[in-house]
Amino acid sequence: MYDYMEIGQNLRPREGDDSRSADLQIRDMLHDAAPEAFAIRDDAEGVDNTARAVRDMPELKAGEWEKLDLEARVKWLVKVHNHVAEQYGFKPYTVRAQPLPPNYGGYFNGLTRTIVLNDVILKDATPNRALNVIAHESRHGYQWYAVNNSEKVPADVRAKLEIWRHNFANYKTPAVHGYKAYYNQPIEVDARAFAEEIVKKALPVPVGN
Amino acid sequence: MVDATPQFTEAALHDLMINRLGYDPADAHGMVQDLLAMQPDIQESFIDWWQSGALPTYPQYEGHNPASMAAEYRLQPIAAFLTLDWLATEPDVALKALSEGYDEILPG
Repeated sequence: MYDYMEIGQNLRPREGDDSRSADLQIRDMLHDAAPEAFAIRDDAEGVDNTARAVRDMPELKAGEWEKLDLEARVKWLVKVHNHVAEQYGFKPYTVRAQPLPPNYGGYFNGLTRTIVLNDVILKDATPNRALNVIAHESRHGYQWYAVNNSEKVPADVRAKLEIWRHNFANYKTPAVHGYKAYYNQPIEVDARAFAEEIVKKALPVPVGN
Repeated sequence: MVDATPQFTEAALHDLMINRLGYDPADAHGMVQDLLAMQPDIQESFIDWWQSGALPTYPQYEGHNPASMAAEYRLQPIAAFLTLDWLATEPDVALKALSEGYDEILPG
């Protein structure tokens, strides 16, 4: 990403280079060399790191959200998901937004590695709901990763894995089991709590109209 | 879904859910307990549905009834009755949950 001209003389970005991409590439190399140095020690650290990364996103600076068209907001969703994945150490899933029935936020599919969100969340005057929903589905992505990679998650997460594994195998939907069973099942309670923490810490003051 | 002489008992509800509605036995056990614990007027409405096959428009809780729950939130009948009972017993939490909508973990 940077041209090396002469030692100590010139490290200049080429036209069109994205300095953030260079940062990410360097971080990826360091991550590959010493992954343990990047591992979170506990779940709370993952929440704090993710919220900090999201809070620093330029799209959330005052006056920026209103300027984004739908395509830019979809790209922002993907970047938020990538922050969660990076902080928690799992490979990002494919994220897309599309029209879905009212009241249906979206879904997570671990086998196709896909998160699909209702695009209505992108039309709000503020990013709060969109952040909540992508954080929620990203957390399902982490839950799925965790139950399949128990040796790679911190101890406090590992303690939840049997309950999560059982819940994935016995998932309750509102349509079949009713809203109470859906709402109170462990992986939904956990995803809701995670998303609420991310929104609270990343958007301490309102953004947008 | 018409039954002339439904008995609102654990055994009859198990039979209804597993053999006639196709619920997984592991799910049915807990859900039957929830049905048996529903408010009396919701139980009465449930029996009406069981006999007639048509979702009743009574009782009303927080502006909802079994028929409207099923239609508005795309719920199967058992889910509609259980959700209405949640509205009757924990209205604040239930209304919050309904307003937030839902997501899904798709089966692999």
